[in-house]
Amino acid sequence: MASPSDSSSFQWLSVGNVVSAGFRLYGANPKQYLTIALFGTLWVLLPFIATIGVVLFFATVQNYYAALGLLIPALIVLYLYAVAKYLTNSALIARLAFGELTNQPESLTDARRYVRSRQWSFLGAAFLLSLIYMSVSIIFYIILAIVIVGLFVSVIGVQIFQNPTPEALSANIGLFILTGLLILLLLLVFFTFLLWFAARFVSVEVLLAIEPGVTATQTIGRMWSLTKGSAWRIALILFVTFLVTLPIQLLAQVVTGGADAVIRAAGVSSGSSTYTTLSILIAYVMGFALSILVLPLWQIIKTVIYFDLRSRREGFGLQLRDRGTQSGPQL
Amino acid sequence: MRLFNRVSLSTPESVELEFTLAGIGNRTLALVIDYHILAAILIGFWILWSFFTLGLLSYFDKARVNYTAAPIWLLAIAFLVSFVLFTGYFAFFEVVWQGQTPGKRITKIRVIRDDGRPIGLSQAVLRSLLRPIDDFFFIGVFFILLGKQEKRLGDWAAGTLVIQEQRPDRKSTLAISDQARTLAIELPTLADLSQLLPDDFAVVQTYLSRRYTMEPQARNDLSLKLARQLRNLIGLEIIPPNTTADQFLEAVYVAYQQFFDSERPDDRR
Repeated sequence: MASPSDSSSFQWLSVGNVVSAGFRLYGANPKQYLTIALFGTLWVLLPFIATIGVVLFFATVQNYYAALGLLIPALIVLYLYAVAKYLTNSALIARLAFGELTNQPESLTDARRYVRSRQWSFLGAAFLLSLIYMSVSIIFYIILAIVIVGLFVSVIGVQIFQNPTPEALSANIGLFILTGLLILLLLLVFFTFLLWFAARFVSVEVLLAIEPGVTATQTIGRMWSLTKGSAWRIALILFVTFLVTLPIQLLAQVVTGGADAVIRAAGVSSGSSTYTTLSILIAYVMGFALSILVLPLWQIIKTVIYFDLRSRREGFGLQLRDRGTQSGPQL
Repeated sequence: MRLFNRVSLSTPESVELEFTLAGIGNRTLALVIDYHILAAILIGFWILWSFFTLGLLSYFDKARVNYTAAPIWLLAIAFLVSFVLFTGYFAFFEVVWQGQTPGKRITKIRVIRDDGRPIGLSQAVLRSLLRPIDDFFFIGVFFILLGKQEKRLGDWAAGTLVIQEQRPDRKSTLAISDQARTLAIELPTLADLSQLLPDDFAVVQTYLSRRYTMEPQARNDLSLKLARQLRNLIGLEIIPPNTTADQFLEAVYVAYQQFFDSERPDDRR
């Protein structure tokens, strides 16, 4: 069981401490997390490489088009499988980090076996979440359209839509500016709302990777109730984490720029196609490396958020010490 | 594992002190807050300064003075004042508030010297002057992330550390029901309270102070579990009827406090 740690173990984590703890956990075992992130990201690359292969094949052979009927479904299945693999690997990072966080570390094999058994639940939860996000966006655009059309109709009347002459348009220039500002304001509200929304569902796959016996649907409901009242704090955590990753992104930019300079110094002229290919390749490799580097960090931060939410909302870790040996007969 | 970096240092009086370092998250958040306040101050200054400039120039205009050199001087003064505001903001607050700025105060962190003493003017100014270098290409972030003592260049130069403030939770009075109070009076005769350890008490206290933010279902489960465990620990036969788990925990909390308050005078003798 958990060792009798100091009483600070059931202290709530402040915004900054969530971020610091995330970095500490990452730094304690970077090799393991990075390896998992590498394989997870490679899985996502696979369907793209396959698609490029298929396209190249048909572009050169220009025959056997009937095979497409089989190849396209196969590619879709491959794509779904790859996403599930990516999500599973991300969840594996979270599960391992949670073990460290609660002083009950799990072996890589055990953790992997567990998350693998839930592979399709991760895909299901991600699918449900994207449906939710999609419907929220659609509702927003409908509201936006209703507000704008309503504004025009109530101020000028319907004729501006039936007969949009330049004179009628220029006569209402103030209204257009007003509408533009209104759209900006609504967009701002929408993005704020989206941030709040994302914070409410922040650790869904973490929860799925840790708690036994929950389905993808239940997970989303549970996350919603766990994050109740904590959305803005979580949003701030995500913002601070993003800020700390900025230097790393900047470093990647510098490295890309440096590589570019090296290519040019090697005598490749900046107009040639070799140069374009090389610089695009370098940019892709850098982006790839960056996402591998940053993925564990986000997963671990989400795990710490989840851990903190559990202790806030459910008193996780609040337990009397098991004193079986002390209270029993000792003589 | 430990979630935060810790450092132990000995004071000039050779007292061993242990501190939890501030951590990258708190320091980033504090800086974000401070830079927003500073930006507001600077914008306010520039607005006031431009009003002042316009007024002065129109006065020169009326007085028919040749003022071709004045704008550049006014601009130079404005830049100088901005620099002083930027450096002075951090130095001023870190000296006056003993190592804290508004951002650090909100995030509950503090700058101290390497030997644990509060920082003085020279340390604060040195940290403040090196801040632009630490900010340049975020060099400071890498120093904080990779160094064991989480020191940015300014900290190395000034010989300072940034630590978390060790202020205990504000002792809020817990809501104790009347039923629990009456039970607490009987409890010492019914059960063996000496079986309780300070750790157990801390758990009960934490539960009681946090229960209102918990999910109702989880709270019910937890209070029942704690109540059952406690009952076994203190050897209570049955929890008196019509007592909820919460009330029982409150009663144990009150009874424990009274129990050990009454014992303490004996220790002093």
